[in-house]
Amino acid sequence: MLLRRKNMAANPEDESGHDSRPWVYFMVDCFMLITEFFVLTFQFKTEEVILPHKLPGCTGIPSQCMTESLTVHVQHVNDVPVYQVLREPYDQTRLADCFARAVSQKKNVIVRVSYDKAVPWSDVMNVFNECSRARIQQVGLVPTHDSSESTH
Amino acid sequence: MPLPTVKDTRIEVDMVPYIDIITLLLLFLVFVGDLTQHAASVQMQLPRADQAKKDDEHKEGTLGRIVVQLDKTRTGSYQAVVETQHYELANGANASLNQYLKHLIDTRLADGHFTRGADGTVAFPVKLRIPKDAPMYEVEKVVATCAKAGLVNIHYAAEAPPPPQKTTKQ
Repeated sequence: MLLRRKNMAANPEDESGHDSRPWVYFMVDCFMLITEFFVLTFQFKTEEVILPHKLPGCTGIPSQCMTESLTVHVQHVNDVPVYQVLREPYDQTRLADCFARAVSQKKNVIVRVSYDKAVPWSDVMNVFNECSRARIQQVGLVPTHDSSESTH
Repeated sequence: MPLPTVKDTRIEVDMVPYIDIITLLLLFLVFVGDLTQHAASVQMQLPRADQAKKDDEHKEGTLGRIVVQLDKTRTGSYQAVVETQHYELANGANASLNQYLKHLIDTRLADGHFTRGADGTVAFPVKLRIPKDAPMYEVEKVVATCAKAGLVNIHYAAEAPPPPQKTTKQ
């Protein structure tokens, strides 16, 4: 490209079509740089999937507070998640049945998830997943206290 | 007999198809490429959830959505990443993260697309990207921070289950 420019400068009387339009070379250079940038930073669009939920918050209006609240405590025992509902240990399948029963009986169900401090996020995400399956929208977390290992 | 003279022929490269091809390549890269790197800038393994769906399959919109990511540092602790900024987690009491979220919320409210509810909550969603092995005592700090800022509409990022394998009939 540089050589061409030199030649072009040396032969101003050159009659070729491109040399009479030297801006083409700058444009091509810019195009090349832009393309290089896009090629180097290129990444395919990866659409992540999501689970939408709403954090339950009592607004102080009695009618909104009168919903059934279900507390699930998550533990991680021997690399297996254990879900306690009313102090009874459930696995994920039974938990799904429990949510389905609760939804069939009451219209508004709020699930509150408590957990041991070191429980991995994936175990709690299973509860969110089962809530989505049962069409329970409001799911919140019960914060742990630093003084105790578990809230239960 | 005179020798035939060699005619000085110039080879000219036609630039027009070249520019056309480069333009097409550029268009392809722009349309197919993901320029929103900041939305998923932290590489992580997300928890799997079979009920998780793509954004457009949910009825709820994604207008004004804030993306909060949890990033594991070399020391083993976790930091919140909003856009490209890293923030220490301090049980929902991190002033700088709270202020930044408040600034983002105020900006979106000022646009006029959203209003703050009577209970102080805002309707637009926040997407949480949390690694599947993150301990809950770190996760709750992020959720508490969001709740404190009035962000109650949470989109939890998950990994879609693998497509069912086709069984061949014998």
